[in-house]
Amino acid sequence: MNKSAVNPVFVVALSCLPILSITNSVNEVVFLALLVGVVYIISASIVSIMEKITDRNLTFFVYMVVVAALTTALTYIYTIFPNSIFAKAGDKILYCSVSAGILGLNLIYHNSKNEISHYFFKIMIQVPCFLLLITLVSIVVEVFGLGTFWGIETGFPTLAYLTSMSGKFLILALLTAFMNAYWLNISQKKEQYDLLVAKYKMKLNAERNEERVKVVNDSEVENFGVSELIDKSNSNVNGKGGQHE
Amino acid sequence: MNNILQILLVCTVTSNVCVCNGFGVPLLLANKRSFAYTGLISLIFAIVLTLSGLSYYLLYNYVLKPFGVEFLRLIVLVLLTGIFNFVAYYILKAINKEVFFIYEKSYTFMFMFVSILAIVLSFDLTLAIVDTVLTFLFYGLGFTIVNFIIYGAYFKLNGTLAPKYMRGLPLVLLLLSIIGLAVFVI
Repeated sequence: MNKSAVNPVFVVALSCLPILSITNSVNEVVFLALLVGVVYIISASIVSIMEKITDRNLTFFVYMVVVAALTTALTYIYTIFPNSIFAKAGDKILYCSVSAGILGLNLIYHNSKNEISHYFFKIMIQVPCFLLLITLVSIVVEVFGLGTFWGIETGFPTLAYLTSMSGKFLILALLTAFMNAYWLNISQKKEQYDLLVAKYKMKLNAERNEERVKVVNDSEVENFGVSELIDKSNSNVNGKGGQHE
Repeated sequence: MNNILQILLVCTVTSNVCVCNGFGVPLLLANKRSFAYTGLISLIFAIVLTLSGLSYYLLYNYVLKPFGVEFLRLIVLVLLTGIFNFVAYYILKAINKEVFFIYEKSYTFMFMFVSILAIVLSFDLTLAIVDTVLTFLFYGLGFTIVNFIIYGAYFKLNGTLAPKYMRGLPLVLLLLSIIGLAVFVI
């Protein structure tokens, strides 16, 4: 069944929410976001192989199992690196699976071209946009909410409201609207370009068809009375057009 | 009775899954075609969340923890959430094809999957079993309240007066931010 396309900017914004709800510091957010990117790229690559042989909902379920397995492996690895940001993140790494799951929406449910190159293209655009958006939100939250940046005091006046989920919704809404405006502008220009290309293709096809009709008419091959029928129908149309005028 | 009231207030107001931690927000974007459909999605969400959460709680406390394999909890949770979501999916398909068509077309399966995954991940597994069941049920109630508030404003949010780039998620997030300030006291 064909599903309607979801705005990719909204998908990226939704995937920021699980990470933003569990931490306020930029260093943790950036670290978790990079883990999300890694998990997403590897899981999508594995799932792309079996896309043609499974139902889309089942593909998503398999994708989530792969994401869960990778995230479990990452949480197990953190025990090897004590006193690092990896260790401090702890159980928060599990929430990377939720963000990676949301990011997989467009890739799994609305993949118009079933090619690995199309997967690669979407991954190269989605992951940097996700990293950019979540980093910007976390910078605003930490600088203006806590008065620090990467753990260093900045001296800015703070507003504790921004560290609450309500404040994060507000910042995310404004940044999403800004990105959405940019995306709508690009997609409108792409649509106009596609229409222009389609128009010129139709024009070229019409000219080629006229040439082919001329070649057939000029040839001496028996056409079983088809040309007389065409001429008769054309004269009927012209006659009716004359009557309307 | 006091305990039930306390859990009710915590789950619907101070720890609401949509307004207080944002885990239920993806499912808020499901199709808002009608009041009845919105209610149906909220009901399915509450039931699937309760079943997934309870089965995860039991498996974690009576299987994973005693055998020392808690590190597998995420995979177990994904499997359980997937199973219950698929059960709901196929029951809906068998009952009503028209409603199932809307359910299928608007990514509800996927949004419900990730929302339930996030909510159950954040749940405290040291509570008693009765408190666990009540908590998940009241999480569903909290989601239903916010879902109907969004439904009431949905057609105005996405109407012609709203700028094109604000329609959809940005306005929903703004509304949640205002609800959080005004009602849920966070």
